[in-house]
Amino acid sequence: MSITTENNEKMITLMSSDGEEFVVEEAVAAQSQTIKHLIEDGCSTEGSIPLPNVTGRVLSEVIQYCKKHSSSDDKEEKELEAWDAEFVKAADDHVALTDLMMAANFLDIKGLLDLVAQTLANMITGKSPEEVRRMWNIKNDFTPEEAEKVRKENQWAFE
Amino acid sequence: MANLTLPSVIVEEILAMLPNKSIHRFRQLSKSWSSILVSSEFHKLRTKSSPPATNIQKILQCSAVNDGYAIQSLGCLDGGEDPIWLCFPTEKYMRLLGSCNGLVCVAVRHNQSGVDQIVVWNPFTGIYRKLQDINDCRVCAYGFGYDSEADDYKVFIATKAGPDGVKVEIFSLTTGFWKEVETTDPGKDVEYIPDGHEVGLFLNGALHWQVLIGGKTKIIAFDLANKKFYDVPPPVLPDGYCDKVGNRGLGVVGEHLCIYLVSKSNDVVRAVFVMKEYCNGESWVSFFFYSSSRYANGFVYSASDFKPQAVSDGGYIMILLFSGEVQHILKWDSLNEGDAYLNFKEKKMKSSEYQMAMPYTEALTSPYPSLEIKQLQL
Repeated sequence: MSITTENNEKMITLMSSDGEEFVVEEAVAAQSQTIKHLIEDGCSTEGSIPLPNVTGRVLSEVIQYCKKHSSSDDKEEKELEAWDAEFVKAADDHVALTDLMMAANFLDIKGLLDLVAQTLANMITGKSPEEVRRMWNIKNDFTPEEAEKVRKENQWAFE
Repeated sequence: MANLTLPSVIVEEILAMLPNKSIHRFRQLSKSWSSILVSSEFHKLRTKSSPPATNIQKILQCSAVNDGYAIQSLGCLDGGEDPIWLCFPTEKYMRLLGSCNGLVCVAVRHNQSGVDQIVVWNPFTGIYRKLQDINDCRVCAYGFGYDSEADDYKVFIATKAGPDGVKVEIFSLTTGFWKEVETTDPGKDVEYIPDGHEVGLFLNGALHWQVLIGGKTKIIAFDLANKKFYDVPPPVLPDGYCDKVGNRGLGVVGEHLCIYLVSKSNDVVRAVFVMKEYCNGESWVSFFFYSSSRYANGFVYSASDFKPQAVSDGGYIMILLFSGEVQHILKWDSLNEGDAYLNFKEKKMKSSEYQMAMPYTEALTSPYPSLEIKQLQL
């Protein structure tokens, strides 16, 4: 369903995987290239756009980000940077950030994807491989011999 | 609990933001992470915002520093860039063995025993690959280059075998194996291999050396594709220049082979000749003369004290110059005949200290060329 506000802004309804509905201005939703293409293809005219990969909790965060970034212009770059920093801080932990990143990837929001990728990269930079494996339940699939070989290769002369 | 299965596209995006040092550490994480981290595709993603400056030659310097050895980039000859440290100082003795399409071959000494670890390294992406250990005492010649027929990078090592024999082995980055080269003409090939840990100069698919055969100085080459030695026609020398090995050096400037000579009459004047067309003996032309009085007080003895190494679009030539007690990396302005130091932080090296420099380019070439994403060969 597509409605129009008083200042003639076209509104779009987005539906999360858990059935939550969000009504946002088209300009905000179009920050997502995926949604923008859906709108262009006429998918928004008949009711809400379903987003089967994104939960309501994550979608509300994504919308917060898109609102901020569609209303700010280039002059406010510094302020926007500070806002971004607060935004990822509020996401709290790597699990929430990973969800946010998956959503940004699915919705194709480049700015958000880079922001979260950088935050997660900063988070793991100082960590040991074992700590990072634990963060994402990554299986160490090296045999002991292979692991030893890779470990040796990693002892670069300069470390 | 949220779904924590990370799709590889997400992993790539996160890893693309990591500093080089963490990249090496996380190669230990899992096979899929490791294969992502060494792939050229991944490094293309990392450099989306600042792609490598292709075809611009930069200068790599490997030298003794206060507490060990270090490799720095001195930027490109045309300027506009500050020198940067490419790796941390180590106590280990290091030598540059060659540079080709963004890859640099380095020998890192293990300990006092004279055994070197051969490393192929991309200074731009920070990815390196360690090859087999080599006992330097037995090595006659090294080389590193690209075989365009096989689309493969190769490390060349010639070692002494027996009283008169020489063994030539080639490591292929694609296959990951050393292979001994069967000599077709053993007597001739032995003569063609220089002695003295020499580093071959890579140009046109072949490694080049200057050797003394039967009292005559010859330029010889080894073709990396067909694995054969051949002669390169030398220039006819002008009067006043002697043709003794000590007074004549071989170099590569840009895309050309060059030789540099000391004049008989005045040791300070150096002449550089280039071969404009590869292997055409008629195409040798005089390139430039170096007669700066700046080093007149230093006693310059031989051509090996003076090595042109690289030439830039702007007409600058990098020269390694040993003058008396001091080593310089000179930037010679061939158009205005002026020179300037290029050494890192203008540091003058004592001749007892060790230093070498060579040109390199920034490229995404991986030292693991056969590695596809998702597949790690161990």
